[in-house]
Amino acid sequence: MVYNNEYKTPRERVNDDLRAITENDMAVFDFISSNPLAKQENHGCCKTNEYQTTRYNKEENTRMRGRGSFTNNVCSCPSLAMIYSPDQDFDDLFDIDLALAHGSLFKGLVFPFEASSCACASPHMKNGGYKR
Amino acid sequence: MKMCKVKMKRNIQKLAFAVHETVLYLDGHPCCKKALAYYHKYNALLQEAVCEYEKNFGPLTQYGVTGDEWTWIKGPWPWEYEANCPESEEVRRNVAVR
Repeated sequence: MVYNNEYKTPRERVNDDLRAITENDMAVFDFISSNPLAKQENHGCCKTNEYQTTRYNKEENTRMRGRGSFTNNVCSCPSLAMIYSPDQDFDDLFDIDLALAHGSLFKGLVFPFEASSCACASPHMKNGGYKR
Repeated sequence: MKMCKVKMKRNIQKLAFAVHETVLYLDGHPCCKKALAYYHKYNALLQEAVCEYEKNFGPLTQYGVTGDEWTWIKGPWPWEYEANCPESEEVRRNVAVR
């Protein structure tokens, strides 16, 4: 049996995957930049200069990858995927006694299970949210 | 008035949970000054509570041993029921006293 000893930590593996994704993203972008027809598909959300600045700023890119977030540094077009994630504020916190009981410090993240036919019929929704 | 062992342990759990939640938030929002202030405030309270507990009841973890004696082995092991359910330890102790 052949063992492939890579000696990679989980973080290194993730970084490799992200690097591969970004390189693929760059290849697609190069194709779009060089293809006039494809260029029309650009919605104007990215500019070549911005992208190239990012592309050659290896050090910064690596640093941001290490944090697991590099969306601000990578051109948003062409998109590989899109997520919707509301920004979380450090407001509306539970008192520490209640935080442990609820399993979250943030009131906005507590959604108690209430069995009902559908979410909108739940008393939780009808009463304008969970009573804390 | 000195808090009992169970209450102190529960207080440490509450503080540690609040600090941990804040740490997770700060990982994603490292520039949030409000969260950082909250972290400093509750982390200080946590350290204070841990010191107070260890001074009275021995180490909470193997890294909390102080003094000339290895007191870590005197309490319940982390995988034992008493180590994770302080109320039961209190109940057992009260029953033994009776």
